[in-house]
Amino acid sequence: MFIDKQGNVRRPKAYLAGTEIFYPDSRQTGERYHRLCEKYGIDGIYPPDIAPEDEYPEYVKKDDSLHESEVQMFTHDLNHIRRCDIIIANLNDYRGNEPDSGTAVECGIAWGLGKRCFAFIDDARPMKERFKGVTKTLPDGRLRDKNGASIEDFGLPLNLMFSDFTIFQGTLEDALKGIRRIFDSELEQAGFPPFKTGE
Amino acid sequence: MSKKTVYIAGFECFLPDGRERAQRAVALCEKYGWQGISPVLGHESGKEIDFSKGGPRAARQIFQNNINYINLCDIIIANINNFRGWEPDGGTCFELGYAFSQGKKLYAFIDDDRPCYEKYIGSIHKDGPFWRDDNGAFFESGCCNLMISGPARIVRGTFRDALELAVKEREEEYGCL
Repeated sequence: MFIDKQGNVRRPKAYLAGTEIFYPDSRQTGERYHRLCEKYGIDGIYPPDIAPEDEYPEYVKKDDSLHESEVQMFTHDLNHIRRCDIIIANLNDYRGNEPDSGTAVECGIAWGLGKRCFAFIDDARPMKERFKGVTKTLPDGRLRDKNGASIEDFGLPLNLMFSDFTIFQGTLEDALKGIRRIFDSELEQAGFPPFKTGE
Repeated sequence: MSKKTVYIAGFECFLPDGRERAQRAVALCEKYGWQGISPVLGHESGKEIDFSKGGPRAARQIFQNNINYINLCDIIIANINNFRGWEPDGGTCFELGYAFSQGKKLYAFIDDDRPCYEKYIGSIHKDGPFWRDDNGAFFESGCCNLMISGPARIVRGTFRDALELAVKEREEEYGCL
């Protein structure tokens, strides 16, 4: 349960953005993520989940081109975000020092649509400390990578465009525990009972 | 036709010559009678950043400024070249997503528009229809993640190439300059 924007108490829907879908065990991860969300009173939507029949129709491809498939899959994920109240993003480094770009785009969409934004990351220390790779501090005092690009020094684990995200260190379950605490404290402040397992 | 405004997104802010790059992009926009807004250079509507109250607070102010700049724009042109690995800059991608949510037109440019698995330097293997890296992660068929190529016009080349496409599409839309 949580208090939605209209002040109603109901189960929140969470879009689970991340790179899990790229791996051979994606299906099993999706099932595990659904169960985890359930444990914390949240309806999880894993990107490959079948779209329900609602006001957000799937895109119908005009031909068999790659672009039409991309628009179709983009629309499928976009609609899932629209259906959700919150996004929980896996913003771990992916094939380098940046998060997965698809996940990052989804974060921007979700934030722009007014969803509440959460993320999890293995190592939530400031980027300067968690950065994996060769670094050098130049005379201007800025820490730079091997190509001379500066490393953000705002005391944040991620690019400052994720400033409005509440970031949890650990896994999806760590994020869910933290989100549950936040929602429960909002419920209690408004005079409602906190969530009980099995509700 | 009213003056079009372009948000110039990319990882230039991290580069030693980022200001010069941003100035060149803004100048190119002006050449076409458009206005370019770069977060590296700021804009008159931007609020002064107060660094005295700590990094996260200053970061949040910069974030707010960038969001406001995107709000002022009609289109966004993003540099989606790889940054510190095999992905574009995460902040740039966030900005593309936000711009999309606000109904802005999205353009992105990339040096190499071959499929990701062809560009990737590292060992890959075939698994049914997919190419996967050594961690098992598959590669999409396009030159970037489909969450970018779905909503955005992808242009091989530089900022100039993307801008020229945007100008051309604008002309076609209105039948004249």
